[in-house]
Amino acid sequence: MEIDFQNVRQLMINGIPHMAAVGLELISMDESGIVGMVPHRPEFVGDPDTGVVHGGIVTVLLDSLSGMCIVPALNEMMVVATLDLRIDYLKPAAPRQDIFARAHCYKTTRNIAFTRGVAYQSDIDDPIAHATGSFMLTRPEKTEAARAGSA
Amino acid sequence: MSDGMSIAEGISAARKSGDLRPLVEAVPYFRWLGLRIDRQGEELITVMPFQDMLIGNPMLPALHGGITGAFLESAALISLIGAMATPKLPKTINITIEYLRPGRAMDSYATGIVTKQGRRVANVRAYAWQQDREKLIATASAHFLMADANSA
Repeated sequence: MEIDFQNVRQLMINGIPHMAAVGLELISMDESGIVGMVPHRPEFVGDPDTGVVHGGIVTVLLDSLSGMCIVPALNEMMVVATLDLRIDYLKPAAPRQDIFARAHCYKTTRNIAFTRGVAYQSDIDDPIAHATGSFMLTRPEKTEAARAGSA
Repeated sequence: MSDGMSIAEGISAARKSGDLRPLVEAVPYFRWLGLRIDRQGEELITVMPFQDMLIGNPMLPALHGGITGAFLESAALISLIGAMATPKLPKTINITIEYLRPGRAMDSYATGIVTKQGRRVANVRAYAWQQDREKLIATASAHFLMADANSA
C-alpha cells in the first residue's frame, strides 16, 4: 500500500503522544522497511554509573517501528495490534548517543504480520538489539462493528 | 536531588531501609516515568502512574505498547534486585513481551517473579495489570545477566 511519508511523519509526531515524548523521528519509510531514531536525553539513562540508556527506550523505538513497517506491506488499511515482541540485547549501547532502528515486515497472512528489526548507533551491521514481533491485523470496519456490538 | 547517586548506592540504601525508593531515584528513566514501588509483604509491586505522554493510541485511548514493554522490563528488574544479594545492576539479555489487552489511560501495576536465579543468569516473569489484577494487560519473560558474571 502506498503511503505518504511526510503525512505519516506529521501524524506520528502530532498524533501519538508517547512518540512525541521520546522525540522519535521517522527517517525513511517504504515497502522494504522503516528507519527511525530516538535522540539521546539525560532522562532516558537506565544505568547512572555508565550513562547507558534504559532498555525501555529501545523497546519503545523497536515496537513503534515494527508496528509501522507493516502498513506499507499491506494491500489495504488494517488496524495493527502487537501480539508479542521479543528483544535481544546484543551489546551494550554507547552512552550519550542517539539510537536508530530499522524494522521490516517479512510476512503477512490474513490475520497476522511478522516483523524483524534492529537497533543501532553508528553502524547498522553492528546492532545493539534485535527484535522480532508478531501483530494481529483487523479490518477497521470489523473493529467498529465489534465496538457497536459490545456497546 | 539525587543526581550523582550511583546505582550501587541506590540499591544499598534501598536494601538497608527495605524501601526501594532510592533505587528508583538513582535511575533517571524510572524518575522520568514517575515509577513508584509498593512493597506488599514479600511482593514488590511497581506502579506506573498514568500520564498523557504514555499514550500510543489516542483514539481508544491506549498506552503505547512500547511503554508497556518498558514498564514490564523495569518491574522485572526491580523485583530481581529486591531478591538478590549484590548491589549491582543486572543487565537485560532478552525480553519477550506478550500483549493481552490494551493498556487503558489509567495507572498500571506490575510485579516480577524470579523463576530461576543462577550464578550468571536469572529468569524473571513479569505481569502487568490495571484496575483488576485478574485481567492482565501484558506479561513478559526476561533473562538477566547477573552483574557478578561480568567480572568473572
